[in-house]
Amino acid sequence: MSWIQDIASPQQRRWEDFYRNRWQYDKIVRSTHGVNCTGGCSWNVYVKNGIVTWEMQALDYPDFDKDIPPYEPRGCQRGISYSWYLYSPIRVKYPYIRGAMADLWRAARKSHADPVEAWAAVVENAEGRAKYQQARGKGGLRRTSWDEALEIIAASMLYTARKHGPDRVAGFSPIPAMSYLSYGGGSRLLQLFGGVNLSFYDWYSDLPPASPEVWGEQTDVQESADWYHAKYIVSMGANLNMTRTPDVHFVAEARYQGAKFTVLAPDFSQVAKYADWWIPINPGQDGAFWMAANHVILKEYFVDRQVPYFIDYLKKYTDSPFLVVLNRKGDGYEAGRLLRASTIERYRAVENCDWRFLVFDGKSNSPRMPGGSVGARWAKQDSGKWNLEMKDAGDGAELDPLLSFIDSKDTIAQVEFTDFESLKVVKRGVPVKYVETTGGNVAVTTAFDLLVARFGVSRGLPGDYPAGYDVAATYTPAWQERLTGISADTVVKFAREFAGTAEKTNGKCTIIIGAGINHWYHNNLIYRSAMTALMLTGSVGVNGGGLAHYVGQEKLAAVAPWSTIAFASDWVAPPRLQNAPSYYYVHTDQWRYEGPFTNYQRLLGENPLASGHTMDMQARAVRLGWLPFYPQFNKNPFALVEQARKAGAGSDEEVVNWVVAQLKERKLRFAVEDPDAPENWPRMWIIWRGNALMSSAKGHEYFLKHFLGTHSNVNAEEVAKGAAQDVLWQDNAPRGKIDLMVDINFRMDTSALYSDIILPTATWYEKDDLNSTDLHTYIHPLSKAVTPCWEAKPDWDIFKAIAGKISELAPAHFPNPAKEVVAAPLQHDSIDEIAQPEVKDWARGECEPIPGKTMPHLRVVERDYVNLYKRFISFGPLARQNGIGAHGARWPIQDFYDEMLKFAPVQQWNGGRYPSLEEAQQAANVILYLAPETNGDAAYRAFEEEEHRVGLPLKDLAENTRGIRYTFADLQAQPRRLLTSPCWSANINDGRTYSPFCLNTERLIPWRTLTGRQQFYLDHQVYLAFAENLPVYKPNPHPSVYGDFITTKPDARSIMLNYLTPHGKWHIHSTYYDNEIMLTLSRGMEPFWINEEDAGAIGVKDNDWVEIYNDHGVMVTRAVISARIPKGACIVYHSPERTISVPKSPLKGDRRAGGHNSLTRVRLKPVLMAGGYGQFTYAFNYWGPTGINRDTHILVRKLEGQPVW
Amino acid sequence: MHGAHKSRIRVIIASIVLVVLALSAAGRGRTIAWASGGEDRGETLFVEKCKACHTVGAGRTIGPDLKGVGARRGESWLVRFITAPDRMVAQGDPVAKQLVQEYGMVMPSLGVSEEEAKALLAYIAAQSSGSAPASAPTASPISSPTTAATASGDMARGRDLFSGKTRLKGGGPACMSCHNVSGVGIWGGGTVGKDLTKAYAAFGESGIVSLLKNAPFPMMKEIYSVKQLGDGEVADVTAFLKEASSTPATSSQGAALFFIISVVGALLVIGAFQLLWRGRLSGVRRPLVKGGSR
Amino acid sequence: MDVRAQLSMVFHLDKCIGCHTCSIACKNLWTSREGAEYMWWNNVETKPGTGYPTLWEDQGKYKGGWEVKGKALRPKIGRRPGLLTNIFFNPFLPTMDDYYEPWTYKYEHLYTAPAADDQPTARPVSKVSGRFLDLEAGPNWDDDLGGSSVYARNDINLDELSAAEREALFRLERMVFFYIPRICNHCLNPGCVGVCPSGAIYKRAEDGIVLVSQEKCRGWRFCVSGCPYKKPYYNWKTGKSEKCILCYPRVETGQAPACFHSCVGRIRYMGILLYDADRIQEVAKVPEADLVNAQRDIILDPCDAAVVAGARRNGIVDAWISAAQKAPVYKFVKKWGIALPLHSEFRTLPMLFYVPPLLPVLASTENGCYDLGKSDFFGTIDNVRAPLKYMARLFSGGNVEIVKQALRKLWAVRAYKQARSAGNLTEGRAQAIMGEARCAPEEAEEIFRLTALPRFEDRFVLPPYHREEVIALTTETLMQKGQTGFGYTRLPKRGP
Repeated sequence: MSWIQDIASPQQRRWEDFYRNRWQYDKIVRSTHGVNCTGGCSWNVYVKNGIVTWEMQALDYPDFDKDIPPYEPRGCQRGISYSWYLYSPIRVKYPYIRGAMADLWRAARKSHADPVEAWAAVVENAEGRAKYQQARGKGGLRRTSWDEALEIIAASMLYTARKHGPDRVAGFSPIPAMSYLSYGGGSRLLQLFGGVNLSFYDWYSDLPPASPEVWGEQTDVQESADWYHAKYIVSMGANLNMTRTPDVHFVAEARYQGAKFTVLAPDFSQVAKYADWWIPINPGQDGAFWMAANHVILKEYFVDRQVPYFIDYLKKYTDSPFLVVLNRKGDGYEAGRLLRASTIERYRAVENCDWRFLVFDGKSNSPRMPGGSVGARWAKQDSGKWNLEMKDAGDGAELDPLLSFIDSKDTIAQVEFTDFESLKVVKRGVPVKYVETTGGNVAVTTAFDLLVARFGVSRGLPGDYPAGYDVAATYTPAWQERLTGISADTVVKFAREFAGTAEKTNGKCTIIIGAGINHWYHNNLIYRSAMTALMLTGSVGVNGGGLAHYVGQEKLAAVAPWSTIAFASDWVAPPRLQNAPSYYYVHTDQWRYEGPFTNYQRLLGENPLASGHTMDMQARAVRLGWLPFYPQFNKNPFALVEQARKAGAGSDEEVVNWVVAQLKERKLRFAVEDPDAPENWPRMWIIWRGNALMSSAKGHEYFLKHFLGTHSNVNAEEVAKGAAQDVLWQDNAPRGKIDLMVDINFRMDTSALYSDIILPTATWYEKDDLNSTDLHTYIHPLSKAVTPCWEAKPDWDIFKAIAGKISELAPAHFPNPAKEVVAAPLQHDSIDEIAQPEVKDWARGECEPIPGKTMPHLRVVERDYVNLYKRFISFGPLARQNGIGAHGARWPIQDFYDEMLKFAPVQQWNGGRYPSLEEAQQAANVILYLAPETNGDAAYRAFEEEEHRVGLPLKDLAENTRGIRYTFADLQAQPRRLLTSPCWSANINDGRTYSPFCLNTERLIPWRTLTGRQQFYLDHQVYLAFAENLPVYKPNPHPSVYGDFITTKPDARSIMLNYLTPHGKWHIHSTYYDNEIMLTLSRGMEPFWINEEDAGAIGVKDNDWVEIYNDHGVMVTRAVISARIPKGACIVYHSPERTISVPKSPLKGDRRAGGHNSLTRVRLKPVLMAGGYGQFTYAFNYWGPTGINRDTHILVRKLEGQPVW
Repeated sequence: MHGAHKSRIRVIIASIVLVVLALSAAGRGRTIAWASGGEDRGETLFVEKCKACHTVGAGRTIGPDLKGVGARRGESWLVRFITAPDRMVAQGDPVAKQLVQEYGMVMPSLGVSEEEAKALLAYIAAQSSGSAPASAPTASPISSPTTAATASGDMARGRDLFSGKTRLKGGGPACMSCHNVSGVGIWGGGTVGKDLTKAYAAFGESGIVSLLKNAPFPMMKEIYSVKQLGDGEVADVTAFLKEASSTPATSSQGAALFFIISVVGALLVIGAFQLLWRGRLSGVRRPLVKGGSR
Repeated sequence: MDVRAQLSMVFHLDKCIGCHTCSIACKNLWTSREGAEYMWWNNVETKPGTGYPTLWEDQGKYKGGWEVKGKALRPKIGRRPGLLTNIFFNPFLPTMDDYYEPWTYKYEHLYTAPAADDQPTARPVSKVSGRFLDLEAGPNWDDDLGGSSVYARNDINLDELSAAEREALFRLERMVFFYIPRICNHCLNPGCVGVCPSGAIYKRAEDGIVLVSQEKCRGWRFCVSGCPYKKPYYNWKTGKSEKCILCYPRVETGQAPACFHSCVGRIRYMGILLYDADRIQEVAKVPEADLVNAQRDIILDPCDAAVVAGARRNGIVDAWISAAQKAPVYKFVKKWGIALPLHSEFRTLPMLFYVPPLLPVLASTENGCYDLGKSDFFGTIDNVRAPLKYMARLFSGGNVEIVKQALRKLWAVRAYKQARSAGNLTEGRAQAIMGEARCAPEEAEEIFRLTALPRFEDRFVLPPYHREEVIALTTETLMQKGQTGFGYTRLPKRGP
């Protein structure tokens, strides 16, 4: 007891005030972190002495059900270290300009009074231009004034618009949901100007293409609290502790609620620690595992025994009973397209009958046409029948579709299926019925019957069916053993537990999935294999069930009013929105370094839709309106209109016709067809809120080489000459396409380091903004805890200032509003979905070029640069006129608009009055006032509109919340829970957790797909050509054919490993990576994780320096040796910066080594460019190929000698 | 709860703890006790601050017996003296100066607030007037300082204890760490504390015993309140100090000699430490990395 | 019976995600200043691993904690006289290398680098010397089995395993790791207090928080040695030692400590425990394998009338007694017996308790294929991945049965809920599992609720402090109201 000291004397304890004095503050402000992490955490920022001293998690999320764990506290190790940045030495405090450019500019400015002319002098001097391009990234930064920086940017924009066209100005900023208006400021400026917004979700390879394929939805996922309802949770390619840090507790809590948690991960990852089962599957083989699991599920729950819940679910909510035409092929058949109503006499007169699909009704014993298909969706006369009732859309008769013809077949057809591993064809018997069509008798079967055959589940039909689980044939448990390294018994047990749980709980099975899957070349197939299991077990559209794909904070809850403001459609439409993967693949010339894609994606037979070079598919996709591409033409779009006028075109329509004729005659070309010609280069690149140059820039070194024109470590060979048919080959690859690179940043990241101009932006504690995520259902603010430090400004204000400068300089160059032509692809959630029943190429004479039908839309729009600033700060009249909407829903807002003119701040100019958007907070309040998610009356109205199309009652969903209105000040007081909205697919009333597609299953609103149901079967002709119409396993491209080692060869000191770059623990992408606290808690840099045995083989010890390399570049870092890393693979966590602790590489001539993306080159999967058809129509960040990188291999060796700095 | 089998010291400490705990255990509890009036509080303060040198009615020890002190001096004078005795002396208060003469030392400044001083006086007054003969709070089992006997004290053992040759059982540092006494060791003792050569003469036996058992001085208190001297040790050290008081003080040692001795001594000590603790700064991590075992 | 109150903690390791948010919450508030850079009052360690500072658990090297010599309990580092001989030259301290050399980067170089022919980069520089630094160690160097060949394999808790068992831990079918967040244990028998030569360390009577007085500390650093958990740190700037203060400025104002507040895995619980201070010495001396039970025994039932009376007798007020009655900690530690002290064999009676993690079940490898096929739905105690001997070394003084029983009970709760809500386990099977764990349905339900559903106020049941009364002891509260905060920002003076 002798340790009990000083008990009585408070005198002696007065020193305790020492620590009490530290726990003091002047105020607390609610903000969050505008970072792409999906966290969406509410933080209390503590201010003392006028500076931010620390942050702590807010705890006041409104609780919505006491039987569900609460959300508090949210916020992770990275978020809580953020305040370091505000006053750190890496903070961008002032505007900077590269010295080489400053010298040229200042000299030019002396001799040119007009800044636009001065800029012309700078960039038209080839030598000077090359000089500052080559200086990019190599020091020599100088502090400049805001005025000078803004003047250069505005001059460059106007010069570019005048000389090349505004579509040569591109901006890149990711994930608006993390700070709505910081994104929106930049995009609004660009779209008012006519510039291009580059997508991010697909480029980051966060977009799961399987989601649009199967569900017609970009991504719609459970909020994390919904995991708690699950009874079986599988995590694959996702490392919840790392990436879902504030949410992972729901898994732990679900486990105590009785759920089983199974983790598929090649390494003993952080989340494996949590699992009941850890399944160390070979990297990238998750698809094989699930294919075999599906085999077991189909056999044991559908063939051997039928589970009523599953059968009922499949019939109601999936395309499995829909009829597929079987086409003769040799002595057998192959699966063809869905049977259309137009081919049946009974339905030939129905509106959009080409786009309505048939089931075989067991009651009437005939093919019948249920409602809900895409044809019903876009019907004008025959409207109000777009729902999932199993009734004939013609006469309303109740239907009972046959799921299978096994018991009522007319015959058995031997259908061909390809085994892509052995590249052999198997033939399997499928039950068939003959249907009388206008084209004669055709053999049809159900999608379900094809599925059973595809998975090789024998029902006693003749054909190449495996005899049992232990026969290694597609797709048995034994078959997957060699691929996955997991025993057949384990797969069988897993499948039984999974489906068994779903059977007992009506679908409470959740798969949490992420980048570890989504970054493989065949990610869509791996996803589909897992989604198949979910759909077979009725686990989609129920609380506690579904595919929880979380990669990217994509859920911008208040999407309808936000997109109106952000893409300036309150003033002008359509916007120029570009899928970044295509853009970067083409413009950074990565396409020049690969041959035909069939080199590494092997297909059987010859099919014009599935062969050639990826560039050919890319060019076709642009030509046919499947994908956007900017710059759009090899001519300035302003000049084009003038030229048309000169040629006699009067009206806008005539201008468009003239342009079409020019294209048809090949006098006008799409820029994508000759991307390396100088007139087709992009000229300006503005980056904000992201690290475009390293973090997710697959092929980083190619960016440096071709896009920026500075030094790179590429030593790959160009091999595309002659391989690409539809694009012109320029023998000399361009070096330095970009005239001006601007980065808006609060920290000196890799992108800032390489930019010509760096503008200091306010941090997340220095501005007002909105934030939402898909991981929870709250919306909350970023708020200004302190004034933007030093010379920083909020993004909204920076773009406003650029707009002001443009308007100031414009009168000399664009004194009057000017017209230009905008090309835009066929749009998802519009009638464009039924534009192209078949793939026909007008350029090959297969059809006529018709804008918006067989080719992109062509629209004439007016740009008013003199009033650009005034438009920027005013909520324009088109919103009032056209209403707002999203995801296919649309409703009028005239009265709301007029109310705002009464109570909200307004702008008045040129005789008009508009709600003010001058301040970010004003814009936030406009959004909150108009969004159904934050204004109950708007939700009511939106559901009312939706009722007209669906033909079923819906507005009751908003009845009880009709009076709710949130303002920005409300959100600052407390995070608010969103309201149920037709823009989203869950019912979150009465404390229900968000689980997607519950409105579809409960309210019978169709999925936005061809059949209106979840699609097992994809009958786009391109999918048929690639044999991806059904779920299928395709092997990952092997390094020997993938092209990472053409000039670089292994030697005795090196070892070749599969290069995995999962999300890391000490950063969110590259943000926080340079944060001293994060670096201290890790190894002071992003290290190279390697297995003990592999390291031993090349004599590398823990913490040794290593060189990691292939044809694309090199990285130099230190090794971490760990038993938890599987042999044959290595990990460099995404994503390091080349600004922190990177030595030079002896292998590359002692040049500074790069980062993780120095070792990648992007390949685009061509099938994902298919478009113009149902859910395969373009929407920004919704459709298109993704920037995959997971199949990359590298060589690694010990660094020779000491690192050189 | 005071089992007879437990050592006396443990009982003492436990009791202090109990008293104090009862007064102040948990947040609110402690403050109620404090707030309950001057007497309780005065008692605690007395135990804490005064008891080492003073009694109330049990006679003079190191300082005067305080019985009836309120009658002898005015309250305002007493409060001023208790809160800042050194200042009183420095300001030349005649009574204070006289006390210094009489008791051979200035009463240490114990950081007593005015309010506390009043509480103390209230307690002393109550004790003085009451019939209770107790010289200390009843709950305190500290034995009366006068009962300590030095008869059994061994001067030689006392010297060894003082110089640190024999370790103190309670684990406290040897007296010599801070104090000097003429003729102890060749180096003499520390100069942090007073030279104790004349201490016995100044305080007398009961005073020394009380000091050793219940040091009022802040530093000693800090060290020895948890590292108590045993009764035997007290007796021995007292015996040694008694002996020492008859020899002259050591302040006459030559400065030059002291310097030389210091330098040589320092070198020796450094050398010895190098030898003794040569492994001190060898970490464990590097050998681990080099593949050696721990 | 001497009833006292102690602010105590439970960390539910099965829920811990190893994110280190706690560490940074603490660092932001308390130790992001000169002299304190390397202090991690809260840190998180990967197990197996060697922790921070390296091999802190090895008391052969550091001599922390207590040992029983004969009948006496004494600091392992020796009794005070021995200490004083070492006072200027303590041989049992971790070196800077066993911590790490704090570093930053030459960030400004990215702005100031002159135009050159290659890209600038920000190199690491030492915060101690200001020179470029070759990074070799950090406070979390073996995170997630990083450098397993060096660190995890040398975890001293593996010593009792056979060579084959140890090797298996680094193979696929057996491999495992988990996290242990660590703060000061605010022990009942603190090693740091026991050896402080300055008497600067004390345990607050009202709540048991152990503090180093920044006035009295003389920087001898014996607390660093004496604490077997290596949680006091020496501040080179102020020359004084500092340690976790359990955020008393927050706790006193009704807020959970920063690391508790910020725990995003929701693994932390805090509340008042009542214990019998009379029995500390006795309990700290029992044989190693009995320590956990003895420590449980010293914790008193806050609803027991005698305990309540004893508490009142000691001046513990009703509001505190009532807080103790609601505290989640008592349930985890004593009622359910699923929270265990870390390294009870150090004999400091730590007041931070850990619910051991379940971890994935074992697999086997046959013909190159990984096989889980034979395990039960959730697995059983017979196929846990982390060897029980290892877990027992950490959490139960080597007593395997204790840690086994805690794990059994966690399983029982899950089996109970699974059987009732899904049925992959039958009711019968669940009952068998619960029977084995001696866990009744009511208890399972209660454990489930406090594990899965607790709100902030369920996790942290803090007692009401009355600061106004405490302040009144030294100065008038009304005066303090007007005065608090006035003054300049000054650190304590360096040295004595």
